[in-house]
Amino acid sequence: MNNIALGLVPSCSVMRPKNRSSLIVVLVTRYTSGTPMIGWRSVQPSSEPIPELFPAGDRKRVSVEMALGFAVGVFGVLILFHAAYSTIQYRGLLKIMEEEFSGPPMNVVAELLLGLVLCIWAALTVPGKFLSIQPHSEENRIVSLPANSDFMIFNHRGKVFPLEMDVKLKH
Amino acid sequence: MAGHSESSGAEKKSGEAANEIPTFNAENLQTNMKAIYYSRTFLSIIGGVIAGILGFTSLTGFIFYFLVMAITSVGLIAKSGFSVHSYFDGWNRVIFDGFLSGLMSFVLFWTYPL
Repeated sequence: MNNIALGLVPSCSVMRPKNRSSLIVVLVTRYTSGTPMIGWRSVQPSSEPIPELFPAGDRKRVSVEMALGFAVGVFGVLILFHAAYSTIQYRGLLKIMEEEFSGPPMNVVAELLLGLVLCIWAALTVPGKFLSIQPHSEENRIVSLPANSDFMIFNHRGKVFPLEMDVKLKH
Repeated sequence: MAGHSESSGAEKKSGEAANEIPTFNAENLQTNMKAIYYSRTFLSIIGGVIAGILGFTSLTGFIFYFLVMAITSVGLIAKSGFSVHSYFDGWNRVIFDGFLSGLMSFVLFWTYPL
């Protein structure tokens, strides 16, 4: 009997997870029900040292650019406060002279423009760089494989991902 | 669980190629949206202060607010390097999201002290 026609012979594929060491390959076996059964085995003895899975640089740090942006923002806000104080003094002066307030003097307007430019620059720099949302970009590699492999869960929603046979291994 | 707590936030939507379902890293998208929100809120407040100092009246003030928001949108697009699709899932997010959320802050700082 042709087992393949009956779908009784499962198709088996090998995936190399995107971790830094080639300790483990993952075998995906698809039966007719479609749910893949996953097992894993070691490819080579663990003679090489376990790679560092959570490098210390993971935590969010305030970079130099963010601190500089923050300083520029504070400076811009100080310029705005100075312009506001000048305008208040100018209004007081106009009240004494009993004239209408049509607009602040030109140097205040120039100061406001400078403060606005500085604040725009700060508002774009301080929240930090945009992070890429492409799942296959270099900085979004999933490099985690837990230190204890006793509690790994495979029956999750990742089964709707199509099989990628050509995942690259980064040594 | 230990390994998946790190990778669970990474791939939230399903795969590409054969299924044509959009894939993106939802956690990073949220971070980017937060950054946009912070930028817009801060610039709404600054815009309010400037509108108050310059003494804008009703309609001119709101036009100024929309001008500041438009400048913010251009600035955000420039910050993402004009390749919006590698950081967000559409132009609408960068241009229109949070447009009106800063309006209340703007009006507060516009009318309150001056």
